[in-house]
Amino acid sequence: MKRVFSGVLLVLFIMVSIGSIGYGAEKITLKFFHYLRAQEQQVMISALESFMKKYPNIEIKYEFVPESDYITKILTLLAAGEAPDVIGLKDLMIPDFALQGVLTDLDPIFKAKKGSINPMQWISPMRKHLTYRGKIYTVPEQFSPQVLYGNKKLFKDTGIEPTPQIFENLTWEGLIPLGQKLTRDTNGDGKIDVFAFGGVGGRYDDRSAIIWNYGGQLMDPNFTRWTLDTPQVAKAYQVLLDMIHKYHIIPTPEESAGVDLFSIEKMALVYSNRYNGPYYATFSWANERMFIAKAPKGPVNDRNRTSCRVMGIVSTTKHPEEAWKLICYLTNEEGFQLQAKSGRTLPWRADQVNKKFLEPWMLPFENADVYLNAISRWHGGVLPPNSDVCRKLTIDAWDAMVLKKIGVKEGLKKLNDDLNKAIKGW
Amino acid sequence: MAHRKFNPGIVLAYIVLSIGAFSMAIPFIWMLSTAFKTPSQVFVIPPKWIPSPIITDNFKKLFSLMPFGRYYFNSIFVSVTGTFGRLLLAILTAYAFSWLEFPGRDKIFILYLATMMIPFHVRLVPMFLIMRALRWLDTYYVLIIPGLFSVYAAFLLRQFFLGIHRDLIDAATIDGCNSWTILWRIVVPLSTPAIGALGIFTFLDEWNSFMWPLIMTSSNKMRVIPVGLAFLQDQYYTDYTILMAGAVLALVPVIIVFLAFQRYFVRGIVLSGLKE
Repeated sequence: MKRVFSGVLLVLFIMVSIGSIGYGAEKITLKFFHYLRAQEQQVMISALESFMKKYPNIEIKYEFVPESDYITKILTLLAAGEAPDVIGLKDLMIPDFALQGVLTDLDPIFKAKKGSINPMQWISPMRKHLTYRGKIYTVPEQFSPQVLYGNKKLFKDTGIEPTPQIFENLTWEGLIPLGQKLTRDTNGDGKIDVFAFGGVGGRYDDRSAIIWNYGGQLMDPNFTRWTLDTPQVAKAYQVLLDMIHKYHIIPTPEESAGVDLFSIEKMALVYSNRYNGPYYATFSWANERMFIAKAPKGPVNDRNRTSCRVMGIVSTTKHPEEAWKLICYLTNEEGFQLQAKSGRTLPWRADQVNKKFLEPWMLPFENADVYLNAISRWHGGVLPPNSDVCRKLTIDAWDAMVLKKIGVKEGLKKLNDDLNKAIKGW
Repeated sequence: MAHRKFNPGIVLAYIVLSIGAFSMAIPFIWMLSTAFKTPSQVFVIPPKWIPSPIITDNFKKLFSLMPFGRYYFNSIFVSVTGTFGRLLLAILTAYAFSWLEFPGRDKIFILYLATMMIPFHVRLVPMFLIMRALRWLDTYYVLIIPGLFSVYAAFLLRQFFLGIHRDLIDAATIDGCNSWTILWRIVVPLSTPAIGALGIFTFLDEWNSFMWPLIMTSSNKMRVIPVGLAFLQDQYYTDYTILMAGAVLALVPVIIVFLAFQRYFVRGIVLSGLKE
């Protein structure tokens, strides 16, 4: 009896000890910010809840902030000493945040081999892209290189079968004769009803692929000086402007009037990326008539551009280890799989960039081979500081050229000067 | 029976005004129409003003994507309490600065006015720190109380109160009224057009407030409609059908307030030259 009693006491002691360890462990709260749209938030919330189940001693207080005022909110909270611990951001925001000391340099964490993220496993352009002034501040969360999205019906209406061969070696200038066939006045009123091509925005990141394809560079390798005042860049701009003014295969702003002509089957091809996949999937005609094809290349190279979303640890965090655990989970483990369901990303880990890994994710109109080609053609992008101002300047300059308020060479010279002024002092 | 004389000028004026009114109404018609469309119908050319088919899924999607009912309650609660609170404080402040005599009154008023010159973004961080110190962040206090103190509202009403004839105030004083009675029995009843117009503008100001609630709140349960609607758009993609469904719902209280106080609104603009 005494032995039984002692045994029960021992078991009770052990249980109480274990329990007290559990209660004694400090619960850490991490603040997590992202600029996700309402449609994407639930996926992220699921991932965060799944993380909290796996790590019960870490509580995540998440906050979604509309993209339009994301930077304002973060900078306000930073100034007030209330900054989040982990933030999601666009790759284009990296310089501004890194140069203001907002982001933690992740290199020491990588070197210490903590967590499951190893940049050496990323495709090398991703590693290069996210290495800003010699340091990696962020890890990728979403990744979408450019391809062409097309409408089979609009091709077939002109007697063209949109086979992959058409796009195999398609160049920007080769797009012109193809576009002339696809551009049509269907009711004979002298006005164009179906345009061949669209999705050519004015921002520097939109323009980057064609500039590279014609041998130009947007900036010097360290992103400290803009280099848009070169003949190569002028040629790239001229090709696009000719598509609008001379060949009329891209609508003018008046002709498109802010309308997404592709969505209403008035545009045969659009230059876009998988980030828009869920949007395209809402088109009633998408599953039946949409296809994707390789993006055009240029006379010098076939380099491609991408849209990239990343995550970083805010330098003021008091819990860097836990913050890192969260990032590892969201971008490299179960969280990544959950996010992939949102249909807006492609893999960036070298061992995942293959058809077998990609195919289960493909929407009915997508094609893994085309995306793999797009990934292989991406060599990293440009990351200027003061990116919002730079983007606005490039949009304004492009609009002025489209409206023929200024010539290409003169416009690029002025734009280059304005951009260099905008990044001066950063 | 007297016939009205045909006046081509009036006919022309009606035609021009009708065109103006119609062009002002087009965005609202588009908003209403889009709220009941499928995404593929949104940008059809020529525009389809009457959707076919008419769907209500956008409203369901809106409520499934976000706690829109909660946002709605928050917006109504904050706007209504904020409007009444701001009007009450503005009336008291304006009366003090217009009819009460106390040392340094006009100098204090100028100082008070000068605070209008400080841009909102400059005040943002200090205000955030104050709200945090008061432990008001992410509560109704932060959404309502700071907005109650409006220099603009006090200034507007003060100017209106000064227009009331002094004899009325003096007569009331001789009859034994104290300041409190004069304010509520004489000044306020004579100022209903200005107070009504200010009430409508205050309500709209509170209803459309975006940056303040965005910065000062963090949880979904404290968000208001403008912040919620901003989550439906980003750089690449905006689902206009759901966004317009939200905008239609957001417009309902504004229309009710406008219809209820329309006569004050028009008179107030005429009397005060007030226009936002």
